[in-house]
Amino acid sequence: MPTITSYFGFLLASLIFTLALFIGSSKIRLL
Amino acid sequence: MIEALPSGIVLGLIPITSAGSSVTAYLQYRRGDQLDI
Repeated sequence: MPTITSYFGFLLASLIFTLALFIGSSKIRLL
Repeated sequence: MIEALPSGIVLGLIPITSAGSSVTAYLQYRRGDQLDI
């Protein structure tokens, strides 16, 4: 059970991190 | 004795890596190596 929680937690964290980087770099017209 | 948290991280790296390389390959296939999204 902790492995599954860690799995989905890691997926969620990496998705949020990537989305924040993408939106941030779009906002400052870098990408 | 296998640690639970690192196991989840290692298992989660597999779909992240394959999805990332698939998306990047598709973008380069569509628009020729330029990330003007």
